[in-house]
Parts: sequence; structure tokens; C-alpha cells
Amino acid sequence: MPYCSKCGVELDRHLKKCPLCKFPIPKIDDEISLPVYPGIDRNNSITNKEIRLITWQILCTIFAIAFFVSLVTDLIINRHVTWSAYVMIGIGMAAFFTTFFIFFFKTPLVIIICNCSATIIFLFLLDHNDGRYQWFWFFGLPIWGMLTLIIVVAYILIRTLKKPGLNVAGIIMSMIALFCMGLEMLISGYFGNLSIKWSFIVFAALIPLSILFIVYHYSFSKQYDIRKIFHV
Amino acid sequence: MPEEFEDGYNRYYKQKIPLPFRKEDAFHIKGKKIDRNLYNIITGIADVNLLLKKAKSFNVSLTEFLTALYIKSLIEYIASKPSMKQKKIKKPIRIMIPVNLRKIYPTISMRNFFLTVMPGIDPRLGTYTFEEILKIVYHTMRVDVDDKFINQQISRNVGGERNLLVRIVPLCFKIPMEKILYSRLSAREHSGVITNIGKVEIPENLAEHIERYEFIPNPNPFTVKNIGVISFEEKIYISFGSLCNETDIEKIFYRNLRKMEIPVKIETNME
Repeated sequence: MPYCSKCGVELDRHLKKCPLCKFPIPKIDDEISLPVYPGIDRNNSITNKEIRLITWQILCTIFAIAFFVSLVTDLIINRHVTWSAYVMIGIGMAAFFTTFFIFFFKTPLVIIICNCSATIIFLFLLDHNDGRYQWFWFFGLPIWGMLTLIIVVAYILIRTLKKPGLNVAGIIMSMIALFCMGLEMLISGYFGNLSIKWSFIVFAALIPLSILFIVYHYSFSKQYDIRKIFHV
Repeated sequence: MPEEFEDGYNRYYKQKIPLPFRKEDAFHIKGKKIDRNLYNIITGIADVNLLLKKAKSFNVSLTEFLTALYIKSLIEYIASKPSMKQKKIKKPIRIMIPVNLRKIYPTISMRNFFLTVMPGIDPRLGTYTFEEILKIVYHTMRVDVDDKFINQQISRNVGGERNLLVRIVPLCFKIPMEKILYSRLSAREHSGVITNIGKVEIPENLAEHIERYEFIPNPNPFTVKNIGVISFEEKIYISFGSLCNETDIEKIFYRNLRKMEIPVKIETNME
């Protein structure tokens, strides 16, 4: 029987190295090596990367089918591309989003940048589709810019947290409140009546709640365990 | 028999008991997880009588002895890391041990009826000798396996189940929630699990056809490594189930066993 001289343990005959310390075991010829466990066929096990790739392929096929069905239907009925342009742009956008989520799920910043870029292209194409720019330059672009900024700032703030918890919810709520205020200012400003009405209600509801969450997280969470109240 | 289907937890549930305190997060083994559908098993086979004799020389049970040895191995594993990393990972080491409740609460139910105790040490407080770890494990087992503490655990577990708000939620929503709660609360409190099934006894005429029994612990992504122990005839099978390729802890554990003059044979499904 082979032994590992480093670990001092007896090893199974079929082992080429010690499973504990990886020390190579010299081959003993006069003994027949019989594996105790059935060998694992690692070729049959699907890795996470392969699962992601298969998921992406299936989704892309579905998108491609929807893309061509809408295009062909539109061409048969109207003889040229009309409404299907919007559908195709939407499908293209969904395909972009899915691709970024599937392949860059470990790097949220890349997902944010890619998806924000895809969104602005999507909005531009939607407005550009009928040959006139009705809303992109006045609403689409500034709202997109504001939203991107808010998402990036929220992401950076959350990443810098040493102990994420309820403070994450607090940050997200504050950002939503700020976004709503900015949105209302932008829309009302465009129509020449700069004012804050409905967004102030959102602000007044979310900001105290966000402060409560942040204060609870940093001050009281050690003293009062809210989870016990809910039997969890 | 209808009693065999009985839910023992519900039977012994007591209302209005304060819930047990939540423990500080325990040390967890970190390591790159292996591929999906794979599970590494390293089984150490030893003479059960020799191991029992060793445990008795310390006046402890076999489970207590193996738990103490595992805690010692985890301490040595932490100590083997660079000092900067040690500071990060040095947290209390607690090992979860399932306890059969049938000894405390009589029931003939065939359903699950066990709870757990968690003996452990805090390596930040200083160095521990093996005898000191054994002493802590031994006394924790006796203090925590007490009907009052067990009642607290039953009350916590069953209380949520009886809550009307929880009961009206469909199961499909509750199951993912349970997983989240397990990872956020329960799994954080212990560094690993040792389950000792004990000795398997079967009729003699059947035993001659059976080569061995092995008890493989369930894969757990939070603790990464767990131990399942079972003994059959003269052998004891101590199996590490692991979701990472790193075998440092197993190495330290079996080497420690070997240092105690207990011969061990290693078998694995790893390549």
C-alpha cells in the first residue's frame, strides 16, 4: 500500500499524488491499481461559462425570430418597413442588455456603462426613426444624462461602503428622490414654468426614510435586532 | 402509525419564550469554488476502537474529540496564513453539531427531529491547547444540550412557521426567502458542521454482504467544507465534503490525527 511520506497517511492504490499535500507517490508496479470510486467524467459537467453561453444563444435565437417575424409581417402587410422599425430597435436593445448582463455580470460598472450607452443609442434611434427629432434633444438626452449620473454615483457610494446593509436602501432612496426632483425641474423648465410640486412629495417621503435607514444602520442596529421581532 | 408522521417540533413548541441571542459571525473557509455538479470528497478511514480509546483517554466522546480536533485544525489553518490575512479572517470558530432530540423529548416520529449545538472558541483571545479546546467542547455540549436552551431554538424555528402572515405566503416565495435567511443568519454563525451518525448495526447475515458505509455530508456553499462521520464494524469513516480544491484543512486534520498515533487511510474522488 502506498503511503504519503509527508502526511504519514496510507493512500488508495490508484492515487498518483497525495490528495492532501499533492506530494507525488511513486508507482508500485506489483500491485494492481483499482479505483475505489468511479472516475468523474469532467467533460460531461457543464461549467458556469458554458451555461451563460447557452443561455445567451437561446435568448439571441428568440430575439432573432421575433426580429424577422415582425419585419416579414410588416413587409407583407405594408410593403415597406413601418411599425416594425420600433419593434426591431426594441429587440436590438433587449439583445444588447441581455448580452451585457450575461457576460459582464461580475463587473457591474461595465454593465452600467454599456447599458447606458445602449439606452442612449436606442432613444436616439426611436426619435430618429420618423425623420424628425421631437423629443430626444430636449428630454431624452438630459434625462438619460441625469439618470446615468445618479446610477454611477449610487454605485460608487455603495461600493465604498464597508458594511453594506440598510444603508444601501438609504442611498438608493436618496438618489431616487434627487432624480425625481431633477426630472420635474427639467420638464417644467422646458415649458417655461420652473417649479417643484409632485417631486417634493416624493422627496419628503423618501429622504426621511433614507435618513432613518442610514441612522439605524450606523447607530442602532447593534443595540436592537429588528430580525428578532419578525422571528427570523 | 400516525405518530410516526408527527412533527416533534410542533409538539414541544412553547410560546412566549425569549429568542436565543444571535451570535457574532464565525470564521468561514474561503476558496475558489469548484465547477457546478462537482463535489470533492476526502474520506479518512481509521480503526474505530483505536479512536474511541484515544477519545476516552481524554474523557470525552468521539464526536467531542473530532470536533475539538477540527477546531484545532482550523486554528492551525488560520495561523498558517500571512499575518495581514490572519487579521482579516480571525473570527470565532464554531462547529455545528446536530443533536438527536429524541433523547430529551420522547417521540416515535420518523421525521427529522434534531437541533444543533455550536461549541467554539475565539482565536483572537489567545492560543489554545488541544486540552483547552476539548474542555470547552465538552462543557458546551453539556450546557447547551439542555431542554431550556433547546426550547428556545424550537420556539424560534416554529414561531415563524406558526405566524399567520408567514402561513398565507405561497411556498414558492418562502423557499427562496428561507435560503436567504439561512445564508444571512444561520450559516454566518458557524464555520462548519460535523455530523456523527454513529455506529451502523445491521443483522449479521446482511452484514457479510456489505463492504462498508460512508456518510457524505451535504454540499454547503457557505461553510464550503463539512464533515460526515459514520462507523461500521471495526472502521470509522471520516468524510470531508468540500466545494473547493484547496485541501489544506483536510491535510492539517488528518496529519493531526496521525500525530496522535492513529493510522489513517485516505480515499478521494479528486483527480
